[in-house]
Amino acid sequence: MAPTFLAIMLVVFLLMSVLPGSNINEFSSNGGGDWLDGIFSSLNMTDSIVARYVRYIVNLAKGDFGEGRSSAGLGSNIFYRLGFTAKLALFGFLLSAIIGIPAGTLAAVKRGGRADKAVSVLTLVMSSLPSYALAVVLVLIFCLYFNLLPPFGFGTPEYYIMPTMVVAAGGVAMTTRMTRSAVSGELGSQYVMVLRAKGLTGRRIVWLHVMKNALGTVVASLTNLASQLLCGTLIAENFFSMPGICQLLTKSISGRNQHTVLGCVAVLSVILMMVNIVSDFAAALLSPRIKDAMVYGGGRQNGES
Amino acid sequence: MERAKRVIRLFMKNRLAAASLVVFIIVLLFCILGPLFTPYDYSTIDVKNCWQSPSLQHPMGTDGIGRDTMTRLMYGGRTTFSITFTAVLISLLGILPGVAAGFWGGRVDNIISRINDALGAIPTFLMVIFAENMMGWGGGNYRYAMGVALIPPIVRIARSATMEVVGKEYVEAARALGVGSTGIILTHIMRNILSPIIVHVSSSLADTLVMCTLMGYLGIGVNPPEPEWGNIVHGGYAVILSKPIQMIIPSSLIVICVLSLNLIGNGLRDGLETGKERS
Amino acid sequence: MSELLKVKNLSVQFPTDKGTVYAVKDFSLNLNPGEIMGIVGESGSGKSTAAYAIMDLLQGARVTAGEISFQGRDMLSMSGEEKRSLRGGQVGMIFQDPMGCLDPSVKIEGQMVEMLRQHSNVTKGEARKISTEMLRSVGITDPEGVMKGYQHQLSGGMRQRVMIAMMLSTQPKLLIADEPTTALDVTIQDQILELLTKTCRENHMAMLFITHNFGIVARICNRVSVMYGGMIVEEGLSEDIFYSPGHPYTRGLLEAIPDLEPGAGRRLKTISGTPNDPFAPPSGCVFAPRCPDCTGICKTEIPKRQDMGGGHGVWCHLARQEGRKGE
Repeated sequence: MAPTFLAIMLVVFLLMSVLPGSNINEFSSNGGGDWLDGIFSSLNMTDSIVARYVRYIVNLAKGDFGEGRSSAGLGSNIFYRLGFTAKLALFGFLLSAIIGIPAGTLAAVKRGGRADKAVSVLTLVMSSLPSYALAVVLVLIFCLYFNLLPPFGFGTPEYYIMPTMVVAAGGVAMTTRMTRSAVSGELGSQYVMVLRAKGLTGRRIVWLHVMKNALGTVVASLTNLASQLLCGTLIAENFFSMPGICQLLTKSISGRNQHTVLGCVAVLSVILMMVNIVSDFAAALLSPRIKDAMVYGGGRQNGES
Repeated sequence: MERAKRVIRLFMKNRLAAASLVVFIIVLLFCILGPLFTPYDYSTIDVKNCWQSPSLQHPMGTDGIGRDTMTRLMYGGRTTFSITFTAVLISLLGILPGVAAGFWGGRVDNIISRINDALGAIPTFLMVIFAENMMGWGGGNYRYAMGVALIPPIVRIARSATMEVVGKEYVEAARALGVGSTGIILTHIMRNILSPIIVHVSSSLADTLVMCTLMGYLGIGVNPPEPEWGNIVHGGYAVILSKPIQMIIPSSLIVICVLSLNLIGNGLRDGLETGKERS
Repeated sequence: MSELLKVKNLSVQFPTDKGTVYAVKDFSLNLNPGEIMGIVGESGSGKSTAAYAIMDLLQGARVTAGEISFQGRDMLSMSGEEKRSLRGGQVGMIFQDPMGCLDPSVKIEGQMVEMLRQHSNVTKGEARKISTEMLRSVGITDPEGVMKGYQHQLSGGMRQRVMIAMMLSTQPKLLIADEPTTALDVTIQDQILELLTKTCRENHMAMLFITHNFGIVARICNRVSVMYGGMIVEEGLSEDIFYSPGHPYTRGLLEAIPDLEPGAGRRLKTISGTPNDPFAPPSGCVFAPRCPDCTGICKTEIPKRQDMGGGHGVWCHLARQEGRKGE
């Protein structure tokens, strides 16, 4: 994973270097420690792009995002906020899975029927609704009309309901679509016909066999889902004033605090990378086919004819 | 070109898509021509009349410092759409490397695909925020970053469409006959790429629009007093509990646009896919 | 000896956007216990479709029949539940391509145990034991190892054996085999065929063997039905079909089998023409467009079954006359 991370950072770094108006130099002209400077000056490449890139990476790794106003307390602050965001994101993920997976499965099994069409319409609506629009609607319904839920703040569970819905909204459409296509794909497979020839009940076939295979595919695309959920979390934390890392991000954006922004972005990138790793593991666990492909780099065949 | 006519006819049959196209055009006209008819400017401040509900004088009310919302929406639409269209146009740059990768295959394909995957692995809005961070806030600079972030799918589509053509037997036949191979192949490639790219562009327009307004909403977008739809929604947040209509109006406009773009995209996809089968 | 499976006038149609596909028309058969019956035809002749239709395994199809009864029970009036319990229990099915037949994410053990426990009240432990024995009986040398593994670790031949073991573990009275050896090596084909015929003999199991390979039919089948264009064109005992084929299509198929005798310069005999358009079957005999002996009536009237004696039937207008001809 590390090489991929470095590669991505390299691409980003190079892009930033060539785009006009970018001040990436500020981050890569100093820092990284004197020993690094020593090496570079002896090689006469103090100001070369390689040196700048190395310093940039080292700075990021050290968590030194430059002299920001709050860089001193940045560490512990970030961790507290991180935990909060993680909770919110997790709830949102669970909600979108609970809604999306059954909906997608239903649509796939009853393909072309009324259920399928209804799910398609709902997916279209959900993906056309930006998170903040949904947030507005939710606040209208639950706060103003029914006076059920508190709009801002955090603490007791009620404060979490609407933000979770906003986060989930970003993910539901994608989850449904992915599940539907994965299950649909499995249902057309030969082994499903064989399962029916075995005389198994439809329910058993779908929920035991098809699910197991389809979920592998769905989980593999967890990283994409994570991006969507992150977007939702950004809006949710901003709208409902929840103290997560995304709120810090938006606040430092409005406050034009470049260093904090960079810090938050770096942390979020690392988190997404970890999600990537986890999703690969989970996919391998769910589908032995994927596991073997990963471990042995291709199908392994033993046994004679 | 008969294929184009067939596609258009199928598209028109899908009444929902056709209606969405009409709606979208209306919105575009609203943004392009509207400002010619409005007596206000988007930055005319009139604090006495702030947070007005819709009235004859101000058909969509006024914002926090008395600016007419409808005018702001018109100008804002121009900004939002310009950013969105620029980003999508930039993403079309990906066609070139995609075709190159599909055409030459081998190492060229390998390199291009690796870079493409690395680029695609970066979540879009993180890249946008990062770019904006580095390039200075405001002014919609992030449109370039957004454009770049949209490149990977285009490269992939172009690549696979090219490989489809290159693999077809009639290309080999054409080569065997010695008929100006490069010209023929390129024509075929372009024709094959057109449909999937168009379908993808229509759906990515919708997503980019959302992302653009998202940035505006978070305060990243253009600098005030320049209007942008996300900005306007953000402004209405201050009075959400007392005057929710301030947020509802711009949000509804955005939702209508995104929905129509999505429906147009669906209609195009259906039209192009059946069209492809028949030809 | 009452019939095990009786099918009368089965027809299968698939309504699609482009029109209706007439896949099977007026398919009938009688199968007795312990009998091995072959259904021969080229791809698209409807042989597999007919078999699946009998077991109600088709999706999106319109199936009509005069009668379908198994062990005397009317299948047409059975509920979905009842049909489901027949599948895998009294009636087993094995399929053509073993590569995709097993669930890739469940261990072999799980799949075999599931089969047994679906159709009988055995415990997991008993099911495991029976399954292991079944695997051994189909010629797998390391049944325990295979049980613990997954399908992608097995070769095609082994997967087909696992399938057979699985389907036979419930001791069905009827096995429908849809081209089970087509995707396998010739040497393996042999072993699988041996296995199947042995089981039929020992367990008094009937088998419906669907294939396009006349050689296999000659080897193992008691009776044969020949299908073309969704209809049966000839049926009877193997000897009758091979030594006195009554239908021009059957004759064409038999003549097309390459002769290994030395004699240079002989061209392979083929049946001219191409299969019918599934959306627009010909009025009259289905084989008329390609039949070398086609007459006027063949193009307008669908031939009825001409009885040639001894269970040999030919669906051809010219059958009476051509009755004793042909090698």
